[in-house]
Amino acid sequence: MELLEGLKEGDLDAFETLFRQFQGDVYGWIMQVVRDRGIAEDLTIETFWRIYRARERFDTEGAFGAWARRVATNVAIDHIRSARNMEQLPEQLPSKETPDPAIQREIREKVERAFLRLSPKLRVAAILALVEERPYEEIASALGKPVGVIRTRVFRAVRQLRKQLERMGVTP
Amino acid sequence: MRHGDDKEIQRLLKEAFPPVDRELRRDLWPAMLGRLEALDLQCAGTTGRFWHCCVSGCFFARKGFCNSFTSCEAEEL
Repeated sequence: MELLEGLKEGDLDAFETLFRQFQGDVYGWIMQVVRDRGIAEDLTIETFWRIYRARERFDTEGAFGAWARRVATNVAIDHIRSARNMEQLPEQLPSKETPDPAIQREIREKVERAFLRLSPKLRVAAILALVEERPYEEIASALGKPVGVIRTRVFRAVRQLRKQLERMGVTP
Repeated sequence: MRHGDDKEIQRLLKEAFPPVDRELRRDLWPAMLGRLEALDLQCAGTTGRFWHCCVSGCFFARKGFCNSFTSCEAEEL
């Protein structure tokens, strides 16, 4: 509690202590979403930067870890949103009917492409729920949304992925 | 959507996105501190520019006032 009060008052030592205590958790959470060490490090710093700037609004009765994770999720979504504009979304690949030695790799690439077409919010929900298998409650808390919203997002992500993959000639 | 479809999409996603190492390998505090210091410098710069503008403003306003006063005196004479 003292640390949180200190943070709220702009005490750099309190901020440093909290940073060192939670940087690993924040990094790990972001890493699950962005899956790139360098980007995850940058976004971890961005997360704490936003926390520091918004410190006066923090409710010291609340849990710092949960708040940090929520900020981290928003930072990751913002990153995906900005990176999405830079990504070259490829045109539909021609489907190959014949078996290929590299078929698994090709399918993997198509899944990645289909995934890149999802909106940032659907991407985050899908990767956390389906790939990382995080509990829906945990994802809901990190996104600041009800569990039902997360279920809907995952459902929509799966439906869109299936459609995209079918267009690419992959029938899940 | 059938539950099987769901599982199949999940399997494909897991293959496309293999597990990642989630452990932080270095302390990020020095980088964080650098960013905070940059903010301080930026703020100091902004504050400095603000005071510079205030002082300059006062100087020119005073000068303008004095000039107008002098010209008024000259007119009276």
